[in-house]
Amino acid sequence: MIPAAFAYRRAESVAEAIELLAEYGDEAKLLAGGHSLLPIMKFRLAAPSVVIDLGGVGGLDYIRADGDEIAIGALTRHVDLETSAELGAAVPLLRHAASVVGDCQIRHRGTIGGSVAHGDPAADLPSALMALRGTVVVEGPSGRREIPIDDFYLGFLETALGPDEVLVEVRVPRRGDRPWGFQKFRRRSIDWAIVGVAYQSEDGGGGIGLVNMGPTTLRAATAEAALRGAAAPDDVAQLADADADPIGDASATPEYRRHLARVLLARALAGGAST
Amino acid sequence: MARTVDGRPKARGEAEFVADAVEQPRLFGALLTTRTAHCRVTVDLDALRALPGVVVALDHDSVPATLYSTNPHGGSADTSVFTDIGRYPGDIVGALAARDRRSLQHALDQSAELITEQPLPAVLSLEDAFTANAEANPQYPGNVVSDLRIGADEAAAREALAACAYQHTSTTWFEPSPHGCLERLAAGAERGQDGWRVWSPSQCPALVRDLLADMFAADVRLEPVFVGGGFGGKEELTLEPAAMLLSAAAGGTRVLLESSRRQMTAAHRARHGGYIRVSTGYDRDGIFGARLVDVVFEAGPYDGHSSTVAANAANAAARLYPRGTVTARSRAMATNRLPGGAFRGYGSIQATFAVETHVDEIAARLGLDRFEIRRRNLARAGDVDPATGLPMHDIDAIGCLDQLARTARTVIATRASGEPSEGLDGWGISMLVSTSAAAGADKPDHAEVACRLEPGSGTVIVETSVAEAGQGIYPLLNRIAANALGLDRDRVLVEHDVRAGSPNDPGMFGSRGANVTGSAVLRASMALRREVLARGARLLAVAPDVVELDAEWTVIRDGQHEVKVSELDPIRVCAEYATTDPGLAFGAQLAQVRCDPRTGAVRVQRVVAVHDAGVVLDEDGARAQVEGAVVQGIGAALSERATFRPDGSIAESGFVNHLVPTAVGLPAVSVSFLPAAASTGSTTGAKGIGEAAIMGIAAAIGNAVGSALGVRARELPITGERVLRLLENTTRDASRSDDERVAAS
Repeated sequence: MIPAAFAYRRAESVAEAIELLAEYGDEAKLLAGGHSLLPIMKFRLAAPSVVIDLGGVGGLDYIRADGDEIAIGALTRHVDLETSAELGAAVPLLRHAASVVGDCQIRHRGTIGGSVAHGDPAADLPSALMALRGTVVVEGPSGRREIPIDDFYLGFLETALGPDEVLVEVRVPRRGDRPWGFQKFRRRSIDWAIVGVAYQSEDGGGGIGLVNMGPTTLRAATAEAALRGAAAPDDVAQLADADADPIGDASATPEYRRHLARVLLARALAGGAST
Repeated sequence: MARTVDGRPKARGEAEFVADAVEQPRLFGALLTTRTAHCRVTVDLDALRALPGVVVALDHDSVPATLYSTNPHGGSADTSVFTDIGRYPGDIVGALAARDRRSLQHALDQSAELITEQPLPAVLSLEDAFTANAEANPQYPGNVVSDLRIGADEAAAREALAACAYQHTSTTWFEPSPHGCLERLAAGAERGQDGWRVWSPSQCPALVRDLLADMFAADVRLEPVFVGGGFGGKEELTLEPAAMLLSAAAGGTRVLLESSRRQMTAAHRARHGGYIRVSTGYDRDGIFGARLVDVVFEAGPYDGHSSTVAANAANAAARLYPRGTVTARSRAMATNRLPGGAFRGYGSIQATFAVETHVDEIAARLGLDRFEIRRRNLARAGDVDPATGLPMHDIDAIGCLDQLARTARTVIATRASGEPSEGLDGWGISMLVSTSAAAGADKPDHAEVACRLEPGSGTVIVETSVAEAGQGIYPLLNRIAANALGLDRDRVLVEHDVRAGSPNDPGMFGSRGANVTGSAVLRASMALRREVLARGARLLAVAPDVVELDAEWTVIRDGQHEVKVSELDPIRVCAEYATTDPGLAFGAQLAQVRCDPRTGAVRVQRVVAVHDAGVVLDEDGARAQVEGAVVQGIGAALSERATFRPDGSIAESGFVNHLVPTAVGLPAVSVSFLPAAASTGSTTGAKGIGEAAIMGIAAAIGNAVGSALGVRARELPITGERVLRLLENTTRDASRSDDERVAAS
């Protein structure tokens, strides 16, 4: 439970963080809330030689309207998403997903940027971004670029974020009072999801994100196509796992995960929000 | 306030557990363990010793040739401190110590390549154990560690069974489960001029002290420590001798040897896996005429507690309904997988699940009320205890059942609120029987305690070799002593003393604290009070029966003259208590559940527990024991397990996947005790509650799932996936498929 040795650097600005990343390359990891990085360092699943702490970077904790979108600063904590009336009115799916992350302590430390950049398929927020067709904004030495969430996840704990880039913002379209659903199945309270499903209605169809149904957060593309074809909800739900390749582990067999995805999608389509 | 002797230091992080108590400077030690199930092992000690910071590396060659039992109460001597034959994945083949934790971690990272394992044929399931194509441990031919019987002759029982109008047989299966203590096992050792100092988190420190003194032929003093959860997992002697060997090899230097969380989860000890088969013959009124119980538990390669846990499971299964012809067989079978060990309930969680789900199945066949079938068959005072052959006494099983029926009436009638809002509700009940002493006719349970008065401060100190593990024994002993002495509770301190020659109490196990240790404390307290009066009388030159002590214990008077207590010489008295009576304690528990038939998820909404705790000495403490046990029982019922991989290793690695229930989402628990309970006849009159309270939870939950979904869960834990499989295949409903005449099987 002791992490491997590492050097600690504290960035005071995004620019400084980028400079430090340029200096240390992929030897470095960025530290935000620390609730994903520190445990995997303790388990020695990660052993960065340098940890760059973003705790001193100001101006990255915000939720603000920007045209048809809501822009959220990367260092915004889950608890701020959970308690934001503005987010609740504009993107209730995301607010709800933030309210079921981990436990109270985790939601007070963890950040949306950390959760999204970490790339854990068991994380809740990325599935909501998938359902919302959100965008990730990253900043590097050559400036900012926007990455659609569909292009962001490359593999297990692997993202399109370059070694010298910092995730600075998450953008999601306003969905107002359109139907949505979020379902999270756990074997024990406050655990990670064994399987989760996020659903957001949109013009002519809807977006569906899957938690823990493969090496990355996944889009249930086949089910979405059926939605666009106006298939009945139960028929759509039967396609929840069509694009997934879930693993079997001590918590669930692949077959059980597939079954859960179908049941949970049916509930999410019916507007169910699990706690 | 003395009310929570351990609460304040624990809440403030000031309580010293082994890893805190072993003073700096110290060497840091860790175990070297195997990966394969069964193998011949060689350790490259020279390479390990050459690693930076490593001070000592030891393997089998450093160990005395004699084998010992990790069960401090005595078991088969089948274990070497470091083995050269690894007999399960994670078996202990050596240990090393380094100057600091970082060097230790570095050395451990290298060690996998420095331990060579040559595979041997392995026993990787109970089926393998029975076919005996391989031997898990040559000490156990045919892989049989134990094969014991209690009650009637088996042929007579089969005959009686066949003579009954109806028969029912059911088999329940159990996955093993580790203890999940917050404090990992650790041990410290240092050799000084006057012998050894050892730091041990053992639940049985006095026994460990004496065993280590024997093993090392030296004086051993155990240092006082808190224990961060035991639950039976700290009833095994594993790390202490290894720490002493490391220290000896380093010239007596102080060493702290710690286990890892992975070792505690996947390689230490577990609640036993295995199966229990129950057959009952009964008539149309549901009266049992004959019962056969067959317990088969997986021991792993060493005996440890396994033979006694299996035997205790048979005892519990037989005792609940002892009427008619009852027989029970228990077997512990050797395999090359995670060893079973002592775990709160000591086989009774499994036995109760087996028997009580079976009874519900019979009730369902007959269309009998679930309370009524139990009422007709439960043990009554005077019934012969199949385990001891003696009449049961001072028991009130039916009183527990009736009180549960009254308390539960409203629970059963109302639908619980809360998450999930949808689903199918059900409720189930379970009876249970526990003991209040680790006693048998040929093996009395025995406790010694000392009480001393420090006249200057007016404080009374209770000296015990029992450790506080969070079970609340110190607040309880404090209360017993304060009441007997007539002193305010903060004038009484409980002191952990495990030096050689200190009062000998074997420790925390068998739900014996309130009954056995408590009775010794009560006797010592009364003796101390008598001695104070006698000393005062002597100084006043009057007879002891004419003096009295004021309420504050400041002066002793004879009406005319007085002596100040502060002027007395220090007084220390010892007392003991011994009993051969197991002190049977019945209870009845109910669980209400909500099941999600689409995901298989089971959520416990409410638990009602009624216990015969004899004389309740500390209602808050007893209630807390029950509440904690309910939580642990829910874990046993629904989520906690060690999952075997095909190679015999365990998939779970720590609290991320060993799913101990968390504080969020726990049910309301209602606890009550029989108001006019019969005492055990011991000095305190208290009965055991610590284990009783966990025994029926899984069975009640299993029966509740049965009533909610109409399928019988026959395997623990009842995971969502299992429930779903049962629902998908209701044709395999076991309560029907076992409907054959047992005599034919």
